[in-house]
Amino acid sequence: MLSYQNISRWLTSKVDPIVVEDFLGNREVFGPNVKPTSLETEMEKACLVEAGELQESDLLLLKAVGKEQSGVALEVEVSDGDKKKENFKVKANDYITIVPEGFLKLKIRGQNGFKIQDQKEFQFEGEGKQRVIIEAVTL
Amino acid sequence: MTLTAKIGFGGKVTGEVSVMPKLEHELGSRDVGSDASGKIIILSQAPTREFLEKAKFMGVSGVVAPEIHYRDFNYFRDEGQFAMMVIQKFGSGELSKETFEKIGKASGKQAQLDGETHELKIS
Repeated sequence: MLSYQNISRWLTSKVDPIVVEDFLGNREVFGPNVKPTSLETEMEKACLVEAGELQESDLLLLKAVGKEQSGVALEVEVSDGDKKKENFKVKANDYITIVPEGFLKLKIRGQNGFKIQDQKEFQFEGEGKQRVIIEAVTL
Repeated sequence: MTLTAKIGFGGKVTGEVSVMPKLEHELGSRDVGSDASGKIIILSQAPTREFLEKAKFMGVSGVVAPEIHYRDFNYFRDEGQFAMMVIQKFGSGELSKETFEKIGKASGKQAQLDGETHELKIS
C-alpha cells in the first residue's frame, strides 16, 4: 500500500496523515470511492500517478533509479523556456517538487549511475503541468 | 438477525450485547467500565485507541464499531485480544441512523461475533 508521504506530496493543501491512511485503507478494501469528495479525488489521482497508471495528467512523476546510496543522484535545470532558470541537486532517496507557472522545460542529468527512463540525460518540455515531482530512488 | 461487514479481525466470541448510544464527546477510556467485561459492545461512534485499550483491559469480548482509524484497526488486530467488526469503513464517522435502528434494540440479547468472517449473529 502507498504511504502518507507518497500521497501528501501531490496534495494542494496540508492533510492530516490519519485522513490519508483511512483513505488508502478504504481504497484497498473497497476500491475507489464512487462518490468522492474533492480531497478524495485529489488523493485518488495521486494514487494513480504514483502507480504509473496516469500518464496524461496535470501531475508528472519522474523517477530516476540508481544503486548509490549517498551523494548527488540528479542535477536538474528548471526553466520557463525563456530567461528564468534554476538549478537543483537531488540526493539519493530524495525528491524535489516543482510547481510550474506556465511553460516548463526540464533538463535532468543523472549522477553516480542514476538513470531516468534508462537514460543518463532526460529532457521534458511542455505546458499544463500543475505539479512535477522528480525523485531518485535506490534499488 | 445477522449483520455482515467487510472489515474485522479476531476469533469467534459470544456474549451479551451492550449498545452504546452516541455520546456528545469523543469515546475515551472513562466510557467503558468493569460492567462491560465479557460483553460484545456495539458502538454508535468511532472508538479512540484509549477506549479500545480500556475495553481490552476490562475484558470486553468483542467490539462492533461503525468506523475506526486504519492505524488503530491494524494495531488492535496485531494485538489480537478481542474480536472486532467494522460496519462501514476506515474513518471517524458515526453509525448510520438505519443501522442503529436495526441493531439498537439488541441490548441485553446474546450474540456471537466472528471477527474472521466479520459476522455478528444476534439471537
